[in-house]
Amino acid sequence: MTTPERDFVKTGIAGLDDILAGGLLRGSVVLVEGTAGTGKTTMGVEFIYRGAAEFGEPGLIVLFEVSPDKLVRDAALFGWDLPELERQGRLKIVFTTRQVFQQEVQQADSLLLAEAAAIGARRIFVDGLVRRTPGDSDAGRNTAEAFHLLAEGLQRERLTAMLGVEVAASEGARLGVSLPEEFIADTLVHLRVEAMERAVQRSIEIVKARGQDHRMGRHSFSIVDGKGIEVYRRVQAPRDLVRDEAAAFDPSTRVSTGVPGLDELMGGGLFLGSTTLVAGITGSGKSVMALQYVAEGARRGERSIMLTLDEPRAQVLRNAASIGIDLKPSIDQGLVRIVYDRPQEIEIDRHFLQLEKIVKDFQPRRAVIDSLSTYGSSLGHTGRSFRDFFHAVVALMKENQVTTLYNHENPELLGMSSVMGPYGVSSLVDNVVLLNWVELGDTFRQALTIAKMRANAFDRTTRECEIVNGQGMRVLPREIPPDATRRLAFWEYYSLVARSPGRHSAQSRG
Amino acid sequence: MFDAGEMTPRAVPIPTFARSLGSGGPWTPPERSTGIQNVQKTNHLAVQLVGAADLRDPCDLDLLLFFSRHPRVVLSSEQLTAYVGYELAEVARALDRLLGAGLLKRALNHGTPGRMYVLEVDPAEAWLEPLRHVCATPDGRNALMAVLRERRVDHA
Repeated sequence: MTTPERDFVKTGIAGLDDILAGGLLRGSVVLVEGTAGTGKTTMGVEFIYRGAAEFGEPGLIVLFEVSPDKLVRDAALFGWDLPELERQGRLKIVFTTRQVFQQEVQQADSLLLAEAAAIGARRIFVDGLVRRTPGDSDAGRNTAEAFHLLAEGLQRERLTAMLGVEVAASEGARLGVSLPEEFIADTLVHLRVEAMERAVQRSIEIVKARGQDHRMGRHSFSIVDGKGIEVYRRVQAPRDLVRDEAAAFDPSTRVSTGVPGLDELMGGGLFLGSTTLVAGITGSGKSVMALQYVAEGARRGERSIMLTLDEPRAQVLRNAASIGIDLKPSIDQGLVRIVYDRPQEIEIDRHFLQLEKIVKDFQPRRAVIDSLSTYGSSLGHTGRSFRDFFHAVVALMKENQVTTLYNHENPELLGMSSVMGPYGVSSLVDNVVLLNWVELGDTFRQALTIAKMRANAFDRTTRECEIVNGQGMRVLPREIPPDATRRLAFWEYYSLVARSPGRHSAQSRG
Repeated sequence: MFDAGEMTPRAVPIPTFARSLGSGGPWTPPERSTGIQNVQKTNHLAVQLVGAADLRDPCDLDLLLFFSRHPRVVLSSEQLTAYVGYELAEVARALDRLLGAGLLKRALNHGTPGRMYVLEVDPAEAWLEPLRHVCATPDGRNALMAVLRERRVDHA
């Protein structure tokens, strides 16, 4: 038996068809519920506008409260010319009352449905229905029957209907599926404005979608001037299986770090598509290493992205210049892209979607995320947000075989007792590079240790490294020629990373 | 000189009003009056607009303004009356005038109390937009109402 092909109606709203797994089933009755200001009207109007303007599906908008001229004015802010669609006979806006509407659509010769039929409407948006609270005297049989008749009337015309339902603020947090109309409707969508600390974030949840798959959970969305609604899939939502299946690095291809001496410790460099965590306190050289990694890619003609939350683009360019790297020509050639996003009140779903788009469009071979600790500060280390976000980024990069460095600021000044502190995601990475200060005599010296490299034999010794103005970072050889410096080489000491370095005795050194 | 009787309601585009005001430039909505000159200009415009729309009394104006904001409605007579704030009989008379002047189209469904009214004026091309702008200020609305009250007396 073959599965019948289903007729999907694309909403045309950015990101919404993705979480609806293709769109709405034709003829569906969709309830969009939310408190005042959650975006119900905007969503409904965009559904109608996109249908008429982009999919050749004329539509009808029915209003109870908002006057049509205000609706037209507000739609113009998004670039939706509703009067023009009306002139072209692809849209009608009707103002009525709930009472008349209910009576009207139940009639075989309904004026409203005749208006819809006159323009060949395929979509209808009804704005301003009111959600009753469970237990109301009229929330029983009569309501169920009335709504059923309404749904029948709409289905008779094979209209795909979106009904905006106003929810009392006191009920907003307790939305569920409890009323007859919520059971009868084919699709139930909840829109919310949720408090996040002192900020707010819009969210959308497909509570049910009869007869079709959908992405569950609360996804975030924005209402963007000049565009309309943009829905961002919840970063935790499972991706396509192909992404998980592709989540492996290529152990036959090495990627040079661009840091003299480091590739040798790694047996030739990083594996293509691998995930590397670079952990260390501020000033220990993480960003310098990242810049050299990006510059090395540009030197080899490989595209790189640098996603930074810590420093704006201009500051990254200045930092690079201080170690002799001029990134501007590489940016102009399209080899390097620096992406800065402000960490305050970051909307992680939107942020991830942008990253996903950049990776798909730019197709980098290398990437730097600077830094995980800033993401951690924004998302918090309790709950799953940070871990799920990191997991999604790692899977995205691996699917696209992007060899990625993730910088993480470890708070410990000397040595390191934990790789990532409360952000326990180091098990997700393939490689771990520790950058440390060690105090020897009266001097802080920089140490580099490779703590982990999956599927690879690597040098586990802690090595000294240095950052030279105008030249950048390099890892020093284990044996420092006696006449090169008056300092003793690191191998002369023990417990460098354990914060209590001591010097081997002459006897133990042999 | 402009004579309201010479013009049908839908035949007066915005630039005609601008010329009749003697500005020579594009039509702009009148600002809140601050002097005798502005009051005179607003009154002059009010006379023209009332004539162009062939309005007879204040209910005509408010009903027309309601339909300009809601160009396609399905409402019962009682609901329409409540929205514009006049007596049912006044609204019925005003509706008849607007329907008779071809400014409005009506359809009804005998099974329900709702009637569909569709405004037949294209706001982008006709005198309706200047009328709305004038009524958007207290001075402009008062000027129009004064003209309409005079007309009502004349017709009486």
